[in-house]
Amino acid sequence: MRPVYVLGVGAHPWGKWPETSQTALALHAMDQAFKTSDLGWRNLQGLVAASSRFEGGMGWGLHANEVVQAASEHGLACVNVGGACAAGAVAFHTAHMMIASGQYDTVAALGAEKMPKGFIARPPGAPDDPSDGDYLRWTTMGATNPAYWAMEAQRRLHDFGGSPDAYAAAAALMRANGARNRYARFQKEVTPDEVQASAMVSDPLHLFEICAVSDGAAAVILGTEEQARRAGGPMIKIASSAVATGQFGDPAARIPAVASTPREGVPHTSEVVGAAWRAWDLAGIGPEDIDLIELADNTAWHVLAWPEMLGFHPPGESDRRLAEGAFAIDGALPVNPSGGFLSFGEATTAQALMQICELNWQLKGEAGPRQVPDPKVAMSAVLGLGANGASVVLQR
Amino acid sequence: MTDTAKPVVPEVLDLSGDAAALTGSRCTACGAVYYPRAAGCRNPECGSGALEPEPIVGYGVLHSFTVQRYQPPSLFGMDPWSPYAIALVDMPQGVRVMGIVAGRHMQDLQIGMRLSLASQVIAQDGEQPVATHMFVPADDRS
Repeated sequence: MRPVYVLGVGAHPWGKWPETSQTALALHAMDQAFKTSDLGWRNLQGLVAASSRFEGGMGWGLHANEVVQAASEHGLACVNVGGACAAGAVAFHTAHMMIASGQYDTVAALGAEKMPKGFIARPPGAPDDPSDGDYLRWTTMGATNPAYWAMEAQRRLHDFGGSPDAYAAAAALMRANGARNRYARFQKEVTPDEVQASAMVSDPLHLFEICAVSDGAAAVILGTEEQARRAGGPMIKIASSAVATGQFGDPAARIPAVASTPREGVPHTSEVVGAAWRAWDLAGIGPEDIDLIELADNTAWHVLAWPEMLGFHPPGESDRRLAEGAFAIDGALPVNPSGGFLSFGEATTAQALMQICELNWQLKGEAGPRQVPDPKVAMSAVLGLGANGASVVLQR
Repeated sequence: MTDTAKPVVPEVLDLSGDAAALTGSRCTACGAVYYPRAAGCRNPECGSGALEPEPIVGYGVLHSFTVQRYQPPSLFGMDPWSPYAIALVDMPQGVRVMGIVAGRHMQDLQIGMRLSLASQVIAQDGEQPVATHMFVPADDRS
């Protein structure tokens, strides 16, 4: 494998954009990425789209082919990948491997999403299949995604004797970061008291502790070492990218399953832990080398639980570390300097690519008011429905 | 009350016996239990494909819970709808099962308590009641 570098990144601000088509969001993100790389459509040899929120291609999809037909029909390779909310990172991994193999020099990974309002429902057209957990969780108990996350959050309070105040503090930190990010949907800081005054959605999680759903798009253009050198400026290398699925016996309440068979010794959310640990192995690094992390904070519980799951510190310590400022932009382990999903609202398949945009901005020192001091190594971790996990490590 | 009720998804809930039973399956080699019934054993250390039916019944231990305070998308037919608790319960068959907790017990839940698998009517299909599986505190006989 040969080394691969980030040549440019771009995004469309997250929000609700009823007048803007999915393709227009995608083209906007691509245009921004081209502007930062002095490249254009004709330079692209491949486009990998994070195309499906759901396995099986159902749902709100993006297709690389449709984007190309709206922009440039010059015969480039179009690849469309699934992976649900991890699809953006799967697309990135695919583009990375296409260049690392030596067969392509310049490939972009793209995600763009327009989300329906409210709780994420079953994909349209899904069959009524009694062996399908997604069918059963809706028909036999009406369990929304926040219900799953809330049960994890409730269990964490039991396991470590923590206070729900820590969830409110985590949400407030995400919103404070997001207020410094023009791409975030929510630009207003909220206090922990305001978080706890927001509606209780699924105990113990309040509205502001759960990510909304948004429209948005993000793109990352990858290329060779020679191209990166020619472009000038700090060179952002892909130290590693990894994709994994879940392991048998995982104790997580995994959406949309209605039962599990937890086993001793299997990591919680093993698809994400597996991907992150593999990414560390491939890069030859460990948690002590990470200068910042962008993780999938679908809720405030994720902000506290994931750093522990991944092995940054022992289980139960996140509450204290958060209170001491360790997760803040100038802390020992900045978590989601972008503001995370809690500030963006999730534009599912685009979200993992927005994480990677942020890693790139941070490593290049372009993050403005939310800049982490002088980071060298930055990672992402993301989870997608269907037990999809992915992780990317970038290095300056 | 549930004598004449039909399960909301007939393939996964058996109301024909004395106690409500979820229709799971068990691997004849490694003993892993699945709900709903699995196509094959997913344990990578097993490799056996042989599964047999395993009724999931009886008392379990509450692992965690939440209260769903907003009405989910329309596929859930509870009528009339009101907020209810959803729980994860470790059943004696070795599987952690998710389900609603009977409404009147919503405020009494504590992790570690014993719950019993039962069923409760959530809607009517014409004249016939429609039921789903539901947990109740183990000492509640009503």
